[in-house]
Amino acid sequence: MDHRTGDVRPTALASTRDAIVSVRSLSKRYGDVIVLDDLTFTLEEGTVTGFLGPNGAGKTTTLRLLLGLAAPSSGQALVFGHRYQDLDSPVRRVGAVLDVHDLHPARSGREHLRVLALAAGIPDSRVEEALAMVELEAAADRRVRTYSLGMRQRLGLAGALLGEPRLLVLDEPANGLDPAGMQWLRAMLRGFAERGGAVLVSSHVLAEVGQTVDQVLILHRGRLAASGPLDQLTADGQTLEEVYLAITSKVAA
Amino acid sequence: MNATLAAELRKQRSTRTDLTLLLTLLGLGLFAVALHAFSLSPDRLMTVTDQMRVFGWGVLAALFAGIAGAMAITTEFRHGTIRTTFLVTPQRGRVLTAKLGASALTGAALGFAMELVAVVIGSSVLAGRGIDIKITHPDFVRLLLGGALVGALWAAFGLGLGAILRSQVTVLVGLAAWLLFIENLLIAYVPDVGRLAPGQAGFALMGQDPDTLLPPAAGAVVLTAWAALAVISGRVLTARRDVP
Ligand SMILES: Nc1ncnc2c1ncn2[C@@H]1O[C@H](COP(=O)(O)OP(=O)(O)OP(=O)(O)O)[C@@H](O)[C@H]1O
Ligand SMILES: [Mg+2]
Repeated sequence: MDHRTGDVRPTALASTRDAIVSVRSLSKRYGDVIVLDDLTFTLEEGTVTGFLGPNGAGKTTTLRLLLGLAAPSSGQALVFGHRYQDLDSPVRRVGAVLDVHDLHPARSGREHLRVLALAAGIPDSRVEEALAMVELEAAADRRVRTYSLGMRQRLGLAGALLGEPRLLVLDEPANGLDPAGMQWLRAMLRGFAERGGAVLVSSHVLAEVGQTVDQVLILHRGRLAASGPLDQLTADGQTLEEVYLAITSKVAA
Repeated sequence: MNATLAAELRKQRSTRTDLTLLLTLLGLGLFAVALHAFSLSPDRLMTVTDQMRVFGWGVLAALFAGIAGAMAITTEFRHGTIRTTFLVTPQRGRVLTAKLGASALTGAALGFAMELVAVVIGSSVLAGRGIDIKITHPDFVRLLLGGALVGALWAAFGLGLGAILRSQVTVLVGLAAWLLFIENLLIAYVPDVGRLAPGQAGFALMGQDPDTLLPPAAGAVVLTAWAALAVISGRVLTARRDVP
């Protein structure tokens, strides 16, 4: 489809020089229902961004639009300055886990990763590295149907890390992880950002978000209700949970 | 493209779906061929057309190949792996082309294996009963290659339907109901229409029922047209629709 030789830094606009994600006036309608309404934000390198909002606020929808799985009704969602589907080898730029259950139950964990690696032109040695990273080697040859929820999360994360991307997009990755897994995830996301990557992670676990992210986007009924650095939002002594509840309990204008 | 095709082939091999289909097909085929070869009375096994009832099993080849093709895509929708697949290869048309290649290979193998069993078992049983085999060498070649071609084209047809309908249960039930029930009614009551159905066109290309069905070449053209229609519609819809 697209044959651009993908430069990761869009240079055309000075203001978006470092924007790894650039969402502009993004809207999505299903029939008459407006699910996302004029959403605009950018994500810079070196940041972990928490994507918050009540059930049905539109978080997953935003991520699907960003990843080229769904088409916007209007506006645009760009990664590295391009639509996802126009990226040259997308898994080498973007790692994503949308749903922990997106796995074939009859395939082993190792085989799942090998299929992805084969399609993306990534060597099998990287599969082993990714399995080691998420500490799933012992279960790697078992069928996914025998995996626990946390093991599925780990396998999903291994898949997202396979291409050594610079952007991670994760939809509720903490769901099902044990305390050690949570700690590992937190350290992994922080390290990822420190090495210059960007992370967009949706979550309902505000206590966990508070420990991991630099900034938050709070979505409410398809609109961006609040955004900014975590320390700024909680500047007047309120906890993230208090801020969040205050924003999302307001009647939408 | 090669990487996408290699990944599709690997996906096929990493579950037991195709092996299960092959073994079930061969088991059913063995049963059906042996039953016909043993139980039809010699006066009903006189002509080439009669003996085709023993050797021509396009219906099983088509059904199982159609299921294999449909599963290649509906399994991905069912388990949500379609999202991962399109994240790795966002060119959805390329994914469908790779699935077409992989499914056509599987379908051809299924159809060929079915006919091989039919030819070997059928001729052994008939020979054992002392019945003169009227089917000639070129007919056998047509059965084997025809079985492979029917398998490949029905796999493509199933893949296309799968891409259009996405729901695994709907597509599998639909394929079976169409092939085993609706086409039988069509060919029995409105043969001029029934002849043009994808199943009957496939049986025609294998040389079955030449009195009722199209000539083999016409059957091949009609079935190819059905497969192309399904695959192209599936591609267009897959490119336009949001991935669930
Ligand atoms: N294909 C669809 N057709 C119609 N409505 C849809 C579709 N997909 C999502 N929606 C609606 O869009 C809204 C936003 O859904 P979305 O999944 O983005 O929410 P979310 O913020 O991820 O919620 P959660 O926290 O529960 O995961 C919901 O009201 C949902 O019902
Ligand atoms: Mg969601």
